[in-house]
Amino acid sequence: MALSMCGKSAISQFYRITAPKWAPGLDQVRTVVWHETYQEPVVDKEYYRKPEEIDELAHTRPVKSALSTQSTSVFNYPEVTKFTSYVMKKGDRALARSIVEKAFEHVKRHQIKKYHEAPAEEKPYIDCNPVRIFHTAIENCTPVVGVKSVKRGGKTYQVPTPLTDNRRRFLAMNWMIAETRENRDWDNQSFAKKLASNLLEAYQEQGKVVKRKYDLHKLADANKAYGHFRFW
Amino acid sequence: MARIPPGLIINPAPGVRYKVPAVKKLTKELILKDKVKFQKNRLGAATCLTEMSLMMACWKENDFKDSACAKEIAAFHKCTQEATKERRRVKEADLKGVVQEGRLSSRNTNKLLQRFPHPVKPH
Repeated sequence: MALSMCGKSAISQFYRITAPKWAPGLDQVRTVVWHETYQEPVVDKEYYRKPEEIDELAHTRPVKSALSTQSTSVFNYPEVTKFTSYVMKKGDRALARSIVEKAFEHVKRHQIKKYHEAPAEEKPYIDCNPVRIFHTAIENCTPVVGVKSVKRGGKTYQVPTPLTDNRRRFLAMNWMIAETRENRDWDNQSFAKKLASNLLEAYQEQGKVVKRKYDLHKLADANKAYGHFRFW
Repeated sequence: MARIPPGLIINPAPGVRYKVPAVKKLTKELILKDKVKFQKNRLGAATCLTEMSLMMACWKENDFKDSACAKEIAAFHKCTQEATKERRRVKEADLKGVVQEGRLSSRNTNKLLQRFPHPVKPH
């Protein structure tokens, strides 16, 4: 929602919604600044099927608009949305989404071809669902421990440390995208195509992305003697 | 007779100059502040080290395959989740003013000192 809209609507006259202005010529765009009265929207079908419990105070408060990435559809996967956000550049979400959907299409085509060419015993074990392959691939790339630099006595040690779930998911997705971006044959292979092949490799626990996870694990294992340097 | 400064040598050797340390003067008043120093990292112990070492031993045996070490990895994750919950609980209790491990945190000590300030203030 463009900020220029906010300045002209009636609501802003009451609550004076403003985004930070860092310099006279600079206006922050592609951001929404709501007043603190506004509540978060509930994006859940089951919540609206139940009879509404009227909470007097909350009922008078207005509700923010839901993000365009939020949806109650069965085909909306929050992990895929997160991945699309990481793929996105310069706010072009439409392009990022089309790339990811194209990559899933490549994955599906590859798997269906494999399914038809496979003998009868192997057929049940071939997964044609690209979203499931995506989830498995990301899971296979997710590191279990990370390393953090700790300075002790003038020397910096790489101390093995547990990571939060968000950090682990981010690392897996970031590695996947970084690997897809670098060393790509620009003329012959599109980003979507390379992403599809990377996902399929990670699904089988092969390839550079899974190797990067193993490298991090090996680094943590090599430095496990410094585990006591952690104070958190 | 004038006070002889410490380190002054009565019969110095000819041609040699000796240093005399200066006497410090007290410029600050001996009145305590109503604050204590902020303790950022109350150094805790590294948690879940046993689980981590077990997991790494399993990795060494199975060539770093996660599928072979699923049990150890699950135990490690469970331990870290519990450690996170414990840290959050300690922080929330500290915000409420509960004494943790027999020591009052600097935040709560300062609040207490503010309530009972020193009657004499430094100029």
